[in-house]
Amino acid sequence: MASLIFHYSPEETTLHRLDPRVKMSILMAASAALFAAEGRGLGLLAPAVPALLAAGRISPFRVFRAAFPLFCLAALVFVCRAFLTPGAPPAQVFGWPLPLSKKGLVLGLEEALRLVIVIFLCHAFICVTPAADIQRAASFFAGKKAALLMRLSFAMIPELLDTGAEILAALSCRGLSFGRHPLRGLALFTSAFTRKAAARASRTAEALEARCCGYRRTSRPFSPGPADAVALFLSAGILAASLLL
Amino acid sequence: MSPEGEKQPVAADDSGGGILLAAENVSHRFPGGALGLENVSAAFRPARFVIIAGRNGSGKTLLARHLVGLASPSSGRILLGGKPIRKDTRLLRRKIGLVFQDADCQLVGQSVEEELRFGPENLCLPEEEIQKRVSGVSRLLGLESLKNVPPSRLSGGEKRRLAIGGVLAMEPEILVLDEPFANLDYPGVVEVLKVLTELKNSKRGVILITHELEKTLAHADRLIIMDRGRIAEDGPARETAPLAGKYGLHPLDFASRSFGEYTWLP
Repeated sequence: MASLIFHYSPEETTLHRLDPRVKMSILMAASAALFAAEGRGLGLLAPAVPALLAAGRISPFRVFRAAFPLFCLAALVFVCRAFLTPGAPPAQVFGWPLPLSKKGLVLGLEEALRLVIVIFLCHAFICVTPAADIQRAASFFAGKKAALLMRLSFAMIPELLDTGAEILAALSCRGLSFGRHPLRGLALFTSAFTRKAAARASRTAEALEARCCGYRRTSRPFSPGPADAVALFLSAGILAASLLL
Repeated sequence: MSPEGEKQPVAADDSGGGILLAAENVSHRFPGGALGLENVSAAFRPARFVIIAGRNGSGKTLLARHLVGLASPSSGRILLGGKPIRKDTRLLRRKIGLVFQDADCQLVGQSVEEELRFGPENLCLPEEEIQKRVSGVSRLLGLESLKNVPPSRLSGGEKRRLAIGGVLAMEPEILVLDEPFANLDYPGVVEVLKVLTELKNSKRGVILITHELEKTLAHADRLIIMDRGRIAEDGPARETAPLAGKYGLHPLDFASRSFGEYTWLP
């Protein structure tokens, strides 16, 4: 079973054709701006996500389905923030007084929204940028060794997700119910996943070694065009506005 | 088969050019003490089609790993062009390519084109040369129409062809293929056999590791049969093949079929 997230998806779109350095700079700047922006600034950044997904022909439902655990994490962040932030309680919900505060609700919403936007942005970046281009861009910003590490990580993440999905499917085929035996299921999954992931990583490493993989390699030249300049200025404008609002 | 501990002379077919790759009394002992290979000696020339056959656990894959420098012998040595391989195995891997049994582990590119470019890029070749090799290999293996397809969406036969292409793009003088028919259905087997025929016609050296002799025997110049970590038989394919049944391999019925029939190629 192939995982649906963090896979490059080849398409002929402007986003796919953009210079990888531009895409990486926008991702880094957007991630930084997300954590600095508040309230209306965040509200300005949120609509950029569906626009990006549409431009890259990425289905948001597919991302949601594939990254469900990450969205659950965002929900957990919201709940924790809402219940644990001290402050005046809001109006009663269906007549029930709940120990949440207005401040907590707003903070929780903001933090969950940040997390959701980051998930979509990272997924969009990986969907429209092949690992080789990520390596080229990372090599430009962080040096060849860091770039190779980054490429290998991006190549391994889908492999590991696939391995995890295979093990889960195999366990459920053999009648293991996570609902009834969560701890036993977790223990079995963890031990099988660790063993399989290590074996797979070792075989992949051997295959890379056999093909002379190293940080010194031919890198395709960058060919920035007018679309890159437009993307850079447009995103710089949106990010600056989100910080100023 | 030589007695235990006795060193074997390096065996090679006498025809053709000079010896490119040789294993000289190679033994491999696993951490638990078990012997994986015992005094294995064999020499390989470019442009020859050699089959290494044997039952599961006979040491075929381990020998292949030694031949490309992925494993270090407990004793003995691997020679490339007559010189022993030491720590720098890069030259060895430029000349000897290994296609792994599990194609999925080998495919690291996110599209067919990226996968084919991966090896030549690692060799730091100029961009024009990489383009030339990628288009040449795509044409040879019929992968041109799949250029932008992610490897995860390919069929088993296409994945195996891509794995072979990824190594071929590095232009090795000898290509080692480990069980290229594993997990393939009939159309997949035919696809890979066609590639093997192309390789043979292009005068590239091929070392094919398999236990499915009946599919490939007609192409082979030489057959090595391994048994319990040792070379049990080594000689011209026609003469050695009738002994295969003795070592637990598919008994080939030479009485009722001609040698040339031992291929599934349509």
